[in-house]
Amino acid sequence: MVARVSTVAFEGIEARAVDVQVQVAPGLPAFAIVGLPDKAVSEARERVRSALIASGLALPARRITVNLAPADMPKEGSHYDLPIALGLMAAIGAIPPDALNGFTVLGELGLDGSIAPVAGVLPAAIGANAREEGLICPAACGSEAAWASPDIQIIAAKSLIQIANHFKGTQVLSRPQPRVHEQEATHLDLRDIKGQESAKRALEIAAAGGHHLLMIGSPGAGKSMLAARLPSILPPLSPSELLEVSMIASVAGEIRDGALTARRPFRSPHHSASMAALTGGGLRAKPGEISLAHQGVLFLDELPEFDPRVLDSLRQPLENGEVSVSRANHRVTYPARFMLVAAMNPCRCGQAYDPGYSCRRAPIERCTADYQMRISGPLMDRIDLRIEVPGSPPPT
Amino acid sequence: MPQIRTNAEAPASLLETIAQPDAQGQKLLRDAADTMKLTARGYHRVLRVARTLADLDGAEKIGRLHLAEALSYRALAEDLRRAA
Repeated sequence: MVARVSTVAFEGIEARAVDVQVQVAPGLPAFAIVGLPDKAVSEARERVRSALIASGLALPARRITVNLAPADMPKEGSHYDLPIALGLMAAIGAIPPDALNGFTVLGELGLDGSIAPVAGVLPAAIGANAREEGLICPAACGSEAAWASPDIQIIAAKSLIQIANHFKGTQVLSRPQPRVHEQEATHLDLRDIKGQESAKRALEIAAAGGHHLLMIGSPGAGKSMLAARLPSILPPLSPSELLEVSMIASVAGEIRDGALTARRPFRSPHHSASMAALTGGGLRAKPGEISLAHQGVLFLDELPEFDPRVLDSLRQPLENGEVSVSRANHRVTYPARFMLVAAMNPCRCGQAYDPGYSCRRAPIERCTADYQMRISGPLMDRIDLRIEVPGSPPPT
Repeated sequence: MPQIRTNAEAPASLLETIAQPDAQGQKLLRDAADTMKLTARGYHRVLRVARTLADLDGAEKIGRLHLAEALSYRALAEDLRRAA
């Protein structure tokens, strides 16, 4: 007899359905997970075993096989613990065998039987809703899942025992409510900046039309200060934009306490960021900074200090609004429609634009051009607004 | 239009309807495209910024002034690259 549980695997920000099949058969005691599990998924064996013991159930002394179908898709992440455990519980009769029909399950298990939060619950809930299934997820992620739809059935449990009791009817769990973080009062406002009218005008234009902006100025002119205050003039997220931003944040594991954030994202990675950190992908295929900045602002301070290859990988997303990451077996596309705000000094020492300055190294045009050539032509071509931010003397 | 929320996202085909400059504007744009060696992408980008500038002014059509301002924003880094 094979117990089957639905779960998901994440491709980009979408959740693909994965079938977890659990079979308990006669034979020497063994517990095998097949279906290209990665290390975290294989370790589920230990967590599931301990969690079941902690919940008062014993692993049967028989040959247990768990298959994660489709078998040729690599499975990553720690959210397979709960579906495997529930499948096992259904196979040994601890919960009614058809209790899990029509549910998508995801969650990580602790050794004491508790269910820990995982990333990606929102896209999983949206996928489950599309298949007309309910969702079983960790309690901490319940409010996140509630955003998928007002009618979807959600069981957000803190432990395996709670789920067993829910199905027995002795402790029925109520549906979690969707929540949004209250807007923290930001103290960063564009009004704080004195002078710099032309820079403020450029920020207005960038904010109004979503155009990319480059600020060139001497050190201490106020470029970073201006950029940090850009979010104060951006329009609020519309409901569909909020959903997109939240799905990406969910897959990246950035949603805290299950509550969504209604503010536009503002990301400012350090210039030592790697390609995978910026564009996404890497070992665990997570969205990068540019996807986390979707519908928001990506601020790159000290633009020429970034690795040139990393900067050039921005060209496609700046044009199309999405980034395709190629992995060994398949390509994943993340949305990445962001507003780029970049800041740089005009030359190495930073003072080329100061009136009356004469450079000792080379003629000013040459020195400036050398430094600015670090930004490739095609990248510069995609930046529409380029302004000079003059330094101003400190207020006396 | 669905899915297009900002001027920066507007596809080139849409620009022909919403960002058509008047006769003076056309002339300015053509001259600038020659001097600044604007690429086709650059040309469309200038139109998008000019459309935003016209929107900020509440104007329905793009005027010479909007195009001039949009072009000036593009000019900064161009001269330096050519000097190198």
